[in-house]
Amino acid sequence: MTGAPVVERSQGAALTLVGIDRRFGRAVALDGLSFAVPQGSICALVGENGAGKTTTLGILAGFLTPDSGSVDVLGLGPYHVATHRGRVGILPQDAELPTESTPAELLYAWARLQGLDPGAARRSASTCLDSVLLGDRAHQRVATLSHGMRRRLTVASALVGDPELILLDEPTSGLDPAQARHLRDVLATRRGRATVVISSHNLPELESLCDHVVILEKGRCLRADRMDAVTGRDRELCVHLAPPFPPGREAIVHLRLPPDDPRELPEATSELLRDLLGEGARIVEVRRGGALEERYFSADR
Amino acid sequence: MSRGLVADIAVVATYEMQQALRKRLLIVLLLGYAAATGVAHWGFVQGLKELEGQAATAMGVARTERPGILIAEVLKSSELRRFLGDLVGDSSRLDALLDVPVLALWSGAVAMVLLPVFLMTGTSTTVSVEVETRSIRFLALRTERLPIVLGKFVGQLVMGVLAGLTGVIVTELVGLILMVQVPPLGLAIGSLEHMARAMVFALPYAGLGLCVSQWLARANVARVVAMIVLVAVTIANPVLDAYSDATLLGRLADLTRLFLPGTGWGDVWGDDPLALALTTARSVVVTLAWVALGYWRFDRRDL
Repeated sequence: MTGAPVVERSQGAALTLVGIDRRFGRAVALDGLSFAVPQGSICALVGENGAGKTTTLGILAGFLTPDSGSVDVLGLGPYHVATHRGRVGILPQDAELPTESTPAELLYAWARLQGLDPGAARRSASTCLDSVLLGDRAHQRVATLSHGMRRRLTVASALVGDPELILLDEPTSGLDPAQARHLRDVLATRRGRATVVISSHNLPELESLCDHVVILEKGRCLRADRMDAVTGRDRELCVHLAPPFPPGREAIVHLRLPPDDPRELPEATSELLRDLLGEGARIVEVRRGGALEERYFSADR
Repeated sequence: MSRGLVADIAVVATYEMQQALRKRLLIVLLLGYAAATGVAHWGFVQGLKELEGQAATAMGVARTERPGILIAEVLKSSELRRFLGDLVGDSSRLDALLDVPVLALWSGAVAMVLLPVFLMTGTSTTVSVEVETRSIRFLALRTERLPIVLGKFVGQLVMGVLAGLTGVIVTELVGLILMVQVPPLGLAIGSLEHMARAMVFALPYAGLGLCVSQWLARANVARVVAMIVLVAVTIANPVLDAYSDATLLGRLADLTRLFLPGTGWGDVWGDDPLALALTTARSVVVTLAWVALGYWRFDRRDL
């Protein structure tokens, strides 16, 4: 386990939090939280229940005020409507949608409040509803939509107006596998165009979608790094062999490049596989790094 | 007020109305408003019928099933004039006010009782319910908190006007069905005019309700507190009025009444345009003061 990273406001970061403390009564939600998220990345925010994920998103969106510390959102300081209007979208985890309006009315109103003119607001609302497969429900009352449809509508609310920063709290919660996969595809299209922060407990899903990860525990940041670095995909290799194993080899051969090793992983992989094949090894599987889930539960994460 | 602020208020007000117009609660409240107006008007018409019966007996003419034919005679009765004089706070105003059908005058008084209740019921939960369900976050991300509050307030006032118009329709129907010789146009114009006066009177109650809604994050608690406050204000007004004199306590009572809703009952019946304008201005200032007191809290709270 690494110590909490020291974070300074850095260029190229869409989000920077430095030393954020936040209490709710006696309960400490955030305890000196610091991390940065690179611009254009899709970042996973992971941690157990009560780790501070939702509080962090609330502070980033300006719903909650930190007790101390500093926040920078898109290089414009802490979130404020006057400076950030239309540049940030959020899916708040536990916010209920107004049930009497229709999806089209809601997205239109929210897009108008983001500063879009009526025509652009209507087009953006329509595009977002189509992207979450709710185009055919645009004029039905929200009260008549299923839980999954409402979830998709809240995701659409975060995408409306094409914001530069999208904060999503449990976006695929309650969705069936096909809808969840579609949503991941939708979010993947934002890579490079927008910075997306996703808080979720679904680690395999985050691993497949995200290129950056922030691990929280008890209101502190345990690690904030590239997904490849956390899972070891850029420095580690695991080769599974079928018996009989070559002399001196076991069923699994690990390769971990030390930081001072100048070789890239593809180069080292080629060398190792060449050696193994030369030794007559029968290779069953070659895997880069470990799963995020494994790393999350491992001591060094 | 900047153009952006006005545009945001308009969007939030429309959003508020879309929500409210589809809720069963609004339909129930409007039906309740119509029923209460109808019952009050029925009672008033029964009173007129009794007085007309007495007048008919005195004149030696036949009684009628529906009142209206002898209304001019009835309006000369000291009993009715005293009642109507008490209603408008000053009997010297009565002759000027009676250039519209007497039912229109009565409808204004009924609206002045019902509109505060209707407006406080709506405004007391409009913000708190969104804070409780956190749906306020969808708005707060996109616009400042002031246009949220003002937009919701405007939306609720439109609902109040809708309730007032419901009362006008009921008044018209009562005039046509339960009375005779009531000029429909005169009754409509008269009840609309008095509905507008009632709105001026009720406006501070809407401000007080919105204040409660901004302080309390639980909608049901806000609704109950608002009703308790409504009763407390209704009791406090005559009590403070009784203390009104040149002593320090009396001046303090007067100062308190300045900011309490319900103090302008007599003032809104006046027919002097300048006095009415001043009464309206005072009503708006008191309303905004209550909204501002609530906003002081809302602007600082976590959402």
